[in-house]
Amino acid sequence: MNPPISNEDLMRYLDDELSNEDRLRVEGALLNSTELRRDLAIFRSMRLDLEDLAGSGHSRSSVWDTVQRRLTQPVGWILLVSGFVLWAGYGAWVFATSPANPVEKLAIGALGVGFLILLMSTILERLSEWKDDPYRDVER
Amino acid sequence: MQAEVELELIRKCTTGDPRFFEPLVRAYEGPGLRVATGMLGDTDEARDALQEAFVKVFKNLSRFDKKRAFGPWFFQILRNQCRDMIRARNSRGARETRDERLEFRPADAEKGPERVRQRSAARDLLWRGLDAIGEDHREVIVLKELQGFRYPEIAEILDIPEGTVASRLYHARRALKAALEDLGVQYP
Repeated sequence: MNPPISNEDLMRYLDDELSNEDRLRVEGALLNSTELRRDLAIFRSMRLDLEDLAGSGHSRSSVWDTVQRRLTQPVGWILLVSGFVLWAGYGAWVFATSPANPVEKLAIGALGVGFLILLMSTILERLSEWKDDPYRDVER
Repeated sequence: MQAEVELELIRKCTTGDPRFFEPLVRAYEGPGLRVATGMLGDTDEARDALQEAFVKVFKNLSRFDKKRAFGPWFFQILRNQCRDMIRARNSRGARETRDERLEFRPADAEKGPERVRQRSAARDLLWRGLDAIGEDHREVIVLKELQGFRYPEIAEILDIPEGTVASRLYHARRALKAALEDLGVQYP
């Protein structure tokens, strides 16, 4: 005697995931059970309805451009910042070791350090505002 | 795309050159968008999830086990991204209604306004039904019905035993049927 048809067998039959032998076994059970046939008809009807949804997610355009930008931008930033730091460091070293008047060195050094402090504090302020912004996910 | 071609592209991508990533993005963005739209119910959010998933995939290519197929691994990352976005959306307390843009396709316009209205209403019901069932149920239905994955692929993407797929699909379909009946849909 064949084992009874489980719900999982019915799913595998519906989704064409059974071996020939098991498929014949389910088909035999379907012939003898109105309830099984009804369940199968319902699931098939739902499947047809869902097929219509499969076409809903149309792509208007490729996401490649955005993905590429996201992948290459960090490299650009790293190069820019490293270049800036290297040039600034080299410039500071050349200036510090130059035979210029110490008062001039001090004044220009103060200007440079002041500028960097203001720049950093503005960046940190903007960063903290952005983190707390409840509308940051809203697209303009 | 053939598995060997995918593997070769992945090898080249791991050198850090994103140009070789383009064919993979173009091959997987269609199915990926379908899955993400099914899980999130919003095309714009789905595109965001897809972009984020591709960026994560590229950054983690060195960790990809080259003995496995790329597809299920990609969909696993996409599925996790969608789940994260659903969690973030829920934590914002914004249970947004389904995007109206999903309910209309320009091609339908040729088939007359009544047909458009009926299809739109039917789709709306289905989206609401999918939204009403749990995340676990929705994702298995999306992978099977919207993308047509086989059981072994679903098992790999969801990281569950293959034997569990049939049982999860049964409960998911039952849950969807009950949700649709609650919305007034009648089945024989």
